[in-house]
Amino acid sequence: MVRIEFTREQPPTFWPDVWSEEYGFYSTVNPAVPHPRWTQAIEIPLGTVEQRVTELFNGYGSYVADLYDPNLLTYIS
Amino acid sequence: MANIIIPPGWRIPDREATPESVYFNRRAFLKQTALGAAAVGLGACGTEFTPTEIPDEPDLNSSCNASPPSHPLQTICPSPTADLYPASRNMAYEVLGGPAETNRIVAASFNNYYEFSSGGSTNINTIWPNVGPLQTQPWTVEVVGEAELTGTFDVYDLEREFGLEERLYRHRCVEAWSMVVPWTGYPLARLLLRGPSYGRGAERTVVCGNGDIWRAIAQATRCTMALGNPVEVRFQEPKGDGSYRVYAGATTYVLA
Repeated sequence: MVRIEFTREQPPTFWPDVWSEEYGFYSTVNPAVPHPRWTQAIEIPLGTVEQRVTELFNGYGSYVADLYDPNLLTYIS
Repeated sequence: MANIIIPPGWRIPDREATPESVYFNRRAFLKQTALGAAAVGLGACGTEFTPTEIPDEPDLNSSCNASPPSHPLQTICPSPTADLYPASRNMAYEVLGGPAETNRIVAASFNNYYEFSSGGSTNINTIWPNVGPLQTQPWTVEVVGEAELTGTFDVYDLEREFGLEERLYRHRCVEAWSMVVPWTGYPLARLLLRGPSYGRGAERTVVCGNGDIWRAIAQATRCTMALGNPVEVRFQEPKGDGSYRVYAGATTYVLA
């Protein structure tokens, strides 16, 4: 990272800009929203064959949940 | 003991979930971008180094500038702030009941892009020798836009100014793999508020978004908590210009 620009409005970000049909902003944090190619309900820790249940907000809800629109969290595509 | 994986009822094969042409669209895109160009460039350089096995620990006699590097943990030379590492761990971010810390070598050599595999290599995770030696010095960051203090800063100077802490963080990729790895740094709030260099008691403008006052207060509280010092936080009615004042300890934050 070599540059930080503060803006009044949120600018478009990389993946939604080039491939908006892909998974949305909740990409790695909402196990309730399925993805056509990979399950979002479970995850495999690198270096293991273990399957773990993916937590909403990856378990960091107490830090970040209020940043999200609660109406979107129950959204099922 | 055998590891039996029972697929959940909703799982369907990838080939049924997405047309192959759509699936490859993203990959095709990658090939057209700098990421893809970098991969092609590496291939064109003819680097054939393919380790048959990774040693357990770095060879301390080997130079950090060796190319190819001798170990996944030795692809970057020590930074000018090496004396600050390892930083003490902030236990507030411990993973309670979470997965174990990912093996360091696995984390340092994992590659999610099969486009980076080259030649006859069947293991895409042999890409790590091609990253080194990665030059990370000098390293400056330019701060521009709607900020009180703009300019170009040396990232290592900022590390010394703000101090470093270690946190154990979980990461979860949309492609279903996850890792738990230590992160060392300082809270972004320190940079946004410019930390102690402004002096306590100073009045600062903190642009925390255009949301309602409760969201602004929540964000100001989080910024304050992120600074690491639990302090009393008080709020004041909006001023004539519509801004709010939040008193956190000896510091006043003006929420524009």
